[in-house]
Amino acid sequence: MNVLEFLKFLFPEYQILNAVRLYGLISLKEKKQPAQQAIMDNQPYVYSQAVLVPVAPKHKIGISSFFRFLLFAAIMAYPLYFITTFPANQIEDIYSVYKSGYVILEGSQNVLFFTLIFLLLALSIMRASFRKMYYRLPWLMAYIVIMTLNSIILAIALSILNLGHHVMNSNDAVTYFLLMSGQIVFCRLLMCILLFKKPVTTLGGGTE
Amino acid sequence: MNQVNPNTPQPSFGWEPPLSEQQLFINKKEQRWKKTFIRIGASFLIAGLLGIGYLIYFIIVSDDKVDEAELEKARELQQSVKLPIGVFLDIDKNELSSFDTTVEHHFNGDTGKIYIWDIDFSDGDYVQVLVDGVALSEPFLITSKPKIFDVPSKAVVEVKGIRDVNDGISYGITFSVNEISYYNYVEEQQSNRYTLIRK
Repeated sequence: MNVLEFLKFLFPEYQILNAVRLYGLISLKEKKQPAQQAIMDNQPYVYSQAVLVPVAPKHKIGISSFFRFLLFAAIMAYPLYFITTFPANQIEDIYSVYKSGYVILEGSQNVLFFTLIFLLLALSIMRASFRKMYYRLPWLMAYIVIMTLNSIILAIALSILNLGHHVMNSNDAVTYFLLMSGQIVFCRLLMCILLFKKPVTTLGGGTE
Repeated sequence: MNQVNPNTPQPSFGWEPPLSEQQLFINKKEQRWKKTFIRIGASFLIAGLLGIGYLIYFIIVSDDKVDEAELEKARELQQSVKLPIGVFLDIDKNELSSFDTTVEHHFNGDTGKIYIWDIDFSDGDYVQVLVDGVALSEPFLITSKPKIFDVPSKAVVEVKGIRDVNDGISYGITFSVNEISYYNYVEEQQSNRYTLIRK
């Protein structure tokens, strides 16, 4: 494993940039008929039989797809906002607990928020019509998976650090700080191995 | 009479030629992606359902089966004999007043216990318990789980607010010497005093 590979292993966030590099921020590439595909790819295509292929309707950004996009945006607005801001907030909270010695209790409400975003994300992936959006925005799936995992790791980290500060100025603070550091390293390593072995691939502009 | 060979492929509208190897490769890849996506979606769904399960469990566990009339009485008087230690009072902090009181008892022993907990949702409030001006411990977080201390049966117990997250600190305190729970309110750097007197 060379240095570049190792960096890719350590920072799976690279996969988000890679998806953008491969397919762009928005990909509207259409799946072509076999003959069209062959011509596009400059490959020979043999018509062995008489061919009467109906021409696939061109992808149009019509009114229905516009409303579908709006619905998708409505569903995804909160999860995207949450997983984008949450890791930074958690790091700030961890620093604040470490500095001040007072806990920041968010455990119960975090479970509620995470449940909500898990269900919304599941809805956006499991519905075929919404899933299309992930092909149009090729980086989205990698972004969601990686940021959600980061959020969960940091939420657990803060709750571990809190345990050490239930009584002020106690020795527990150091123990739990070490435990939290171990948890972050362990979980992050686990996430890196998982994403290195099975990268969150995405299909730019494809259809099913 | 012309006989038609039934094995002859009949070209018709909608009939597609056999797919090229390249197209088969693309289709296979797309299918694999679809499978991966659905797998990820299913993982989110399972995680979401587990979250719902946890929340339902949390609601069932935290649902104390206490008498509503007793709760109402406790909210008015800010004290109770019958309510259990660690009860969730469900009261607006503005309705609570801060008070000092005398705890009269017939307990013969030298030391009794005090139980102290948060009667509201635990939001990160810290208090410190002092007996005759001497701190019993470092400031600590009050949660719904009562914290227990040993205190002399003749002393002045002081509960000092150390850190308030929002709208003051509301807490419950029970003295084992007379088994009465007091529901009190304190602000940051202020104190409530409980004078324990043996009759």
